[in-house]
Amino acid sequence: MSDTPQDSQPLSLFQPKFHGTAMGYFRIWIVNMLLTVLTLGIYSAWAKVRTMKYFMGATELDESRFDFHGSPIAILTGRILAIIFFAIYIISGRINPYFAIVGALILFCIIPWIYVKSLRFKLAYTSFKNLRFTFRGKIKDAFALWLKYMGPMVLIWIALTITMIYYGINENLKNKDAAAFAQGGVIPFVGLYLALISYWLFTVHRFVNALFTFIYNNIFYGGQKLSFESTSKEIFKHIFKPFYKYFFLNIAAFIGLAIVSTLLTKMVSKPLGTIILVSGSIAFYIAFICITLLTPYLTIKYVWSRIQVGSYRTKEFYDFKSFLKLSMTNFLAVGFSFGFLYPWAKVRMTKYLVEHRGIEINNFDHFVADSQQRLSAIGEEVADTFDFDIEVGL
Amino acid sequence: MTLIEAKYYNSVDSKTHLVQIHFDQDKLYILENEKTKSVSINHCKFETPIASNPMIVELPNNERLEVKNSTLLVEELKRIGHKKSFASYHIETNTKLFAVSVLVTISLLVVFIKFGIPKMSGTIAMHAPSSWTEKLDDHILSDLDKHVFSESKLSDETQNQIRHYFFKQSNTEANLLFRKGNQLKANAFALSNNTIVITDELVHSAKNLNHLLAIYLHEYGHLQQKYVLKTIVSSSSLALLSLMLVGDLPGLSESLANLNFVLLSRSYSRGYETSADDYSVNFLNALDKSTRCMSEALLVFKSVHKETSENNMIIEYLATHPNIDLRIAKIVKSYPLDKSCQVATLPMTEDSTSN
Repeated sequence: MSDTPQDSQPLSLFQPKFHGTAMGYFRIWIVNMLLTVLTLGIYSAWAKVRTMKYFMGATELDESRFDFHGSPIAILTGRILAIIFFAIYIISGRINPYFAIVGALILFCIIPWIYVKSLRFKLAYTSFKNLRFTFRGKIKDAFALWLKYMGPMVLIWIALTITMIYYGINENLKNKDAAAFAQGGVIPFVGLYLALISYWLFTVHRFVNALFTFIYNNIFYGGQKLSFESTSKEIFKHIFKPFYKYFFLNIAAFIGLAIVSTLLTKMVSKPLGTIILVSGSIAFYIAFICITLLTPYLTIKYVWSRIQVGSYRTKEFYDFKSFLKLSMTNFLAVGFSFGFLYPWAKVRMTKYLVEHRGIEINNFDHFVADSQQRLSAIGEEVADTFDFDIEVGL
Repeated sequence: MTLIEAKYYNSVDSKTHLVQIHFDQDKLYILENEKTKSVSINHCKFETPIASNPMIVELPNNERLEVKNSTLLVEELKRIGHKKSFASYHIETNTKLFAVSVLVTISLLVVFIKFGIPKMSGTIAMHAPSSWTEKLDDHILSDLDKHVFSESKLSDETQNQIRHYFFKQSNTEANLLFRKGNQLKANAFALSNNTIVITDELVHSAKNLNHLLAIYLHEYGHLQQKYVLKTIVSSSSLALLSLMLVGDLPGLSESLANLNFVLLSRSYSRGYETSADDYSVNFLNALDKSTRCMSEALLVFKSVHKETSENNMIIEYLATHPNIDLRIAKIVKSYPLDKSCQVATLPMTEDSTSN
């Protein structure tokens, strides 16, 4: 970004506006589906680009629209390769279960590559005011990060798998070495499981912090680097602590309810105990759904209050009550309509997420371009097949 | 000459330039204040418009135009004879074409769900190698033995008497096994290859051996029609379809939307039950036995399971089996003149241990 008199202009809050409509997207969605069916799936790559273009093009900031430039051919190639990878993984597992373990290890090793390629693709083909975004994180850095946090987990998992194979747990414990397992296998087996869970609980916030720092400190808009300030303590405080708190409170409440219901059944009347248990279980499930929505909500809120573009900071105005209301109504509408209300749900959620963020900046006219690169879409499609959803939060 | 408002972006910085554009012969003219720039139309890439989004024109040297009034731009391109068709945009925006698309898409989905999946499942199940079904049998039976069944309390002699009666009467030979059903009470199951399981509780409830024969033939019908494999293939196809339609939904909505498809697969199951009933009834008829053996067996089943005879639409939608009264009525309607089922004694009820 150049030093110009514009830098001395007062800062104003710029908030994006989303112009997408449920009917507008419904028309695209239906035609995409029809053409995908008629072309036996081939059109799906074009459908994906068209959908991305619709959502990006409907997002306006400072009276300019975002755009997506991804090539359908690159996406189609990536999709075919992803299917081939997946088929090899499944078939080899059927031939010999050990192949599946080897396949899982190979997949573990290539995840950083998939992740970085995917981010590079998504950002390289996204533009605003004709300047592209880029992701410049290195695969070796992603791999080092992955190995540091996930490596110990894999070692515990391998030890667990060897224990299971040794005691024949994965096949037929009942007929094989049940006695041997009972004598010597329980302690290492349970111990390794506890080690795995403990490791995860103590490391996950550190891993998420390292991952977010890696992603958001390597994104560029034109030649301007984005930065992201975060610590694992803050991640724990703002995302994981509230989640754990409500998660365990909910479980404790359910256990309490089960005890009360059992006591009532035995001491007062069976119908009363049953009514308490059934209504309590419904409340437990509803609370559980709300708690699962807390994590994505807190994550988006955390990220959007900490990104900086040069010296300009992003802001967010989300509140959990609105997010929850929106998510629950979307969930019910889509669920009970065989998915046909999906366009409506997607548009209103996107509108909420887009319009409740912003950036304090003087103006957008002084960003300059940098060298642009074209990348294959393979990384992104492999990530899709293995159900990675990379939220780059543009 | 039609002037169209646009935003122009160079490839160097993020500055927005408000411009006007117009076409003349094979050139696109860009007017900003007093300056005019022209570009050959052949060097411009006109992106297909999307809904009410601005239309993008890619210019040489990575420059671009953002045109808010895409309809006007499309009309201008048509006027100057530009060949790009923008097919998907026309289908999306033309009311008639869009209505046809909705109808065709929904029809394709309905036809595929109603006829395509059952037909495909049938074909795959009939041509599947027997090694698949044998493996499945072992797996299902060992799972049921582990979690549900316990060993049969019927004596070997009683079991053999029943087997002998069924095989002699029907001239069929399935691998007939007996188990104590526990929470499944009086019941019978067809596995995928050639195995039928009958619970002790059913044997005790039936009293009449011909009722048991009718149920055995119903299960034998499932074996002949490869019921288990068909169910696996049809549910997997529905799961794939669901993934295609709502695959990128957030987890919660996706699981609820998938539930719709799970419930749809129940309708296939009800269809398979009806055809197994037909198989049993026709078999009984061919053996010169009364088809009432099947309807009476269903009544026994109903009394054991205290099935509701209420014709509730929601319950029917959720159930894997059709309403039991409707099943009985269908049999009576098909063979109205049949007499009651002839009683064949159950020697094992006297000598068997009680459940």
